[in-house]
Amino acid sequence: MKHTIKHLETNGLITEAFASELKTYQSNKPMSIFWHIRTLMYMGVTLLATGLGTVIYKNIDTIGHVTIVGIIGLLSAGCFYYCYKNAATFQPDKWASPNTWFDYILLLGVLLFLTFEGYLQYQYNIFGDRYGLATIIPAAVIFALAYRFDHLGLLSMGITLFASWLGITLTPKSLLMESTFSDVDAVQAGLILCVILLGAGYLGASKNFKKHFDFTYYNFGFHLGAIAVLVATFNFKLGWLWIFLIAPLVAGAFYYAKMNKSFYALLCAFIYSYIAVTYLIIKGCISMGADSILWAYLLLMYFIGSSIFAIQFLRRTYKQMI
Amino acid sequence: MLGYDKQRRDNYFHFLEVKRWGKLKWIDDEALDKLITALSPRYEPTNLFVSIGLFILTCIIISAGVGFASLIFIEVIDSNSGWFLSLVGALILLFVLQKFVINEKHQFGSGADEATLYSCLGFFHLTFILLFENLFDSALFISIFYFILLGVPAFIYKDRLLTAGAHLALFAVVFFLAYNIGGIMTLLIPFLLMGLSFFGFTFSEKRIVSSTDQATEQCWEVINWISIAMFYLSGNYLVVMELSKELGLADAFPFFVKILFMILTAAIPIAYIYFGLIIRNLALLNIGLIAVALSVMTVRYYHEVMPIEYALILGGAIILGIVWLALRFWKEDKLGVTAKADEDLDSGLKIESLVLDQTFGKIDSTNTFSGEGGKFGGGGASGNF
Repeated sequence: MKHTIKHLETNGLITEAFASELKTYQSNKPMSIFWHIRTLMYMGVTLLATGLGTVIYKNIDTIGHVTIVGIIGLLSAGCFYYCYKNAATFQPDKWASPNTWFDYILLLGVLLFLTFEGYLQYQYNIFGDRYGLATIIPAAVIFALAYRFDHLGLLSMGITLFASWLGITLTPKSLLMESTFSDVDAVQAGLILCVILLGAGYLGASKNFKKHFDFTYYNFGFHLGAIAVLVATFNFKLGWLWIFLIAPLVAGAFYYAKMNKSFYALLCAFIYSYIAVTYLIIKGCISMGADSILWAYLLLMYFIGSSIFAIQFLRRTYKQMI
Repeated sequence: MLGYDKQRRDNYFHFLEVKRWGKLKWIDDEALDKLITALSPRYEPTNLFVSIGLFILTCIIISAGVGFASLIFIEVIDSNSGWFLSLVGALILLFVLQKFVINEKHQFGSGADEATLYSCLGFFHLTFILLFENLFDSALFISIFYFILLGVPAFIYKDRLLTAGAHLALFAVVFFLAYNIGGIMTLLIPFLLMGLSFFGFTFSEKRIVSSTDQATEQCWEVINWISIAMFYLSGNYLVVMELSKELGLADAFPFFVKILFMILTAAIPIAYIYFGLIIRNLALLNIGLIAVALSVMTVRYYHEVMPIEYALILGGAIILGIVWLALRFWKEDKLGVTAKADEDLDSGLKIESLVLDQTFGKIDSTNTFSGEGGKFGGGGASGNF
């Protein structure tokens, strides 16, 4: 800022008064520890919930069950009661938290609730062998809380739990490194979840009901669908047939990127489409028995040409979007 | 011309700052347009995600291009000195490409310029290693080599990543120099590194204040951050003791020196946070907070004071307690510190004076500004531009 003020002042582009006001503002501006406070709160809540969960895990057979269930349940209920008392009435739009602590107390309540529910299932088998219920019920509770208290973090947790109810582990590591989509059923489940999430995002946005949740839904849905399609393409017999399913996803992402000026969506759509097209070309070469040096030249030329085209495309789209 | 065009680069940063003012409504749209027009010529900024895409794509082009050339010249590469000529050829071509990207395509911080620059350095690195393979047996030589390899382009291009690499290489130079001298110098390594860090910190603090352009200032900030982090790590008990074991000096430090490192491990993070808040230095505060976590880990590495679950609960409770106290203390702004978000502070600024000087038109001849400067003559008397 100081260099800009100096440059503009020296070149007579701003008045001395304005420059002086900016300089005074800059030198008097207090240092913000806003994000430090929030990071520490998040760490504190996570450590506390993890510690309590570990206590239960390690002492599950030694401490009185009622004591543990009581303490965890009471703490969780206390957190929810605090949120209920302090939250404004439900609004379909975005609303600001009543205070700095609110979001983190809600998060702590949910983490403790999950420990509480897991403990009840382990110790008292409250859902019996219907393990799906043990996942879908907390997912439903968390979704309800996310909408009631307008919490994007809880929405992500709810989506993750909902996915695990469908048998899909939704973490970047599991999606990219492990065989989450090892068979056709898993890929189909992934695609169904993708459609549900994209649909939920679209519905919310079009009905103006928690419109700001749409990015979270789209983000999960798009990556899940695209990775499911790519894994199916790479691993299954006649897998290349799957790849065409990526076209509507990518088209949707490009549309979203243009409409919302989202460069993140643009980059993601571009990466998935580049992988898909490149895979089809290489697969095509291999299927044509392309093992001569000529094909190597052609493929390298493809990489150079496609990258140059892609750079031009990205830059052009960027200029159109800004 | 080596490196970037200074005027374009400076205007790039001014442009970003002026755009921020416009976003915060410190200046109105008309004033913003005039200022943007005046800030020419400049490199055009690119969004982070687009930069990532351009970086990846440029790397693909370079890799495929090198592969393509390797296939064409495979026989030359296989001949006696052919590999050297090929590498030098590739290096020259990459350098030309890099100049083309910067000078003709006017790329700065777009990903494409960084990809070509790092590729150039990579090829230079490879050429040097293959030419002087036997020299790379010495850790000291390797450190000096990296210091020069990264430091020279860091100075020319004002690149933060290269600056960080060069600064870390400098620490390695001092480390291996002292280690090679041996004897008492080996035991003095932590103190030498702390001394270098302290010098780096104080020097960079002065340079940040006196720097005349944003790119240089950012590089000095990187040096500042690394110096602060290295000062802590050089005095951290775990780092010093484990490195001593690696170097075969497990019991070389006298007891009181070990105590000193324990004190440093505990005291430095607290000092960082304290001074970070007192002198309003974000680097000290941020690294101080991370250092607290590292110090706790250091203690737990040697002494398991309590089971992990209770440590987590206690840690969580202490952190939340500190946050509660901090929020109470900073209910109102104190000591030049606030718990409010930066955006809220910026949007609270009320600019009542005028943006553009009535002499705006006069600078038309010296600047590349092509707008109708005269229109602003006397502007601002209304108080709202």
